[in-house]
Amino acid sequence: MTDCRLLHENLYGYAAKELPDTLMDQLDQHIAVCLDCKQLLEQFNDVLNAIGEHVGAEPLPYAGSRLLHRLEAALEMPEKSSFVFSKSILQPALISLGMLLALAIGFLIGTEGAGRYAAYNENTIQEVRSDLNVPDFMTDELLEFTE
Amino acid sequence: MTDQELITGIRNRDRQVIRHLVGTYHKQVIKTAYNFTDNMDDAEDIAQDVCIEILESVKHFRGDSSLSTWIYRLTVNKSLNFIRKNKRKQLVRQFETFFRIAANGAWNGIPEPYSTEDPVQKNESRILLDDAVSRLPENQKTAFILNKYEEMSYKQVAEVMNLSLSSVESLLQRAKQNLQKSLIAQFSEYSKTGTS
Repeated sequence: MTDCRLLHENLYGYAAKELPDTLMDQLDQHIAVCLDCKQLLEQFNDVLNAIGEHVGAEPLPYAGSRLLHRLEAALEMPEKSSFVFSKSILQPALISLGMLLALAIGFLIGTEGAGRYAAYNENTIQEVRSDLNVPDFMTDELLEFTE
Repeated sequence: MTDQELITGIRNRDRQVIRHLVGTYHKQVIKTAYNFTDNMDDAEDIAQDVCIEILESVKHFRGDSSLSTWIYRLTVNKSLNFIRKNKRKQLVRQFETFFRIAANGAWNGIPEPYSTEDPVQKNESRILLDDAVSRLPENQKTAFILNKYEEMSYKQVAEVMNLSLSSVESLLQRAKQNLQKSLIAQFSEYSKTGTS
């Protein structure tokens, strides 16, 4: 069981033969008697062999000519607009600016409204006080207290 | 043609030199991009972007590294950007599919696979390898691909990735550990589904 875990921990190194000799020998002996580990190693080796397919990968035929053709076509095209006005810069900048503007307008409307509400409240209180003939020395706190 | 002659020619947009550049480096660029994206058509698109980037950025090339290393660096960056962008596209596509199918009441939770037609027929081991490599963190994946698929030495990988030799060694060590872990998990998953 311990040797199974040892192989699991060193599977890459064992399959690539990168481990110290003593560890390689120990795992050799274990794999000779453990079918599960032998199967695991075979599966792992198959996967490592697939690395060769990447190493040997070749571009498709005429890839160089295609690339040159596409490159020349791209070079023929008119130069892009300057970096600052490119879509990736200008669009987010305008959107952010719009959002900031909307926020500022909202804030202005809010403070203006609050001011008007406070003034309206004050006027109403004065009107009620004069309707009820409340003397000036009777502050709001005093009125609340007498109630 | 020396690196310096190539650089001067590219700066002057000399067609002959550009042809020479493409002829010399297209295989390297396409192959590297393919090893990242796993699709030849995408690799050719990336190669075009890399060539355009070379033409546009050659004025900033200071010659601290060889032209080949610089081109490798551009290719790796373009390939990683391509993968990042496609991840977003794939996510958007999955959302679209979700809302479309959910509207029809037939969503089964399985996203549509991102289809990239590739003429290369893959066997099971290759699929497992590609999947495990694609799950690696970007730095580990880059180091692994350059070292194992491009057969670069640790020193060359360090130059392309602009890292120290010890950092590359540690990245590769961690990449191998992660691949091993991920593959063992996939084997056991595979044997479970295979027997059930």
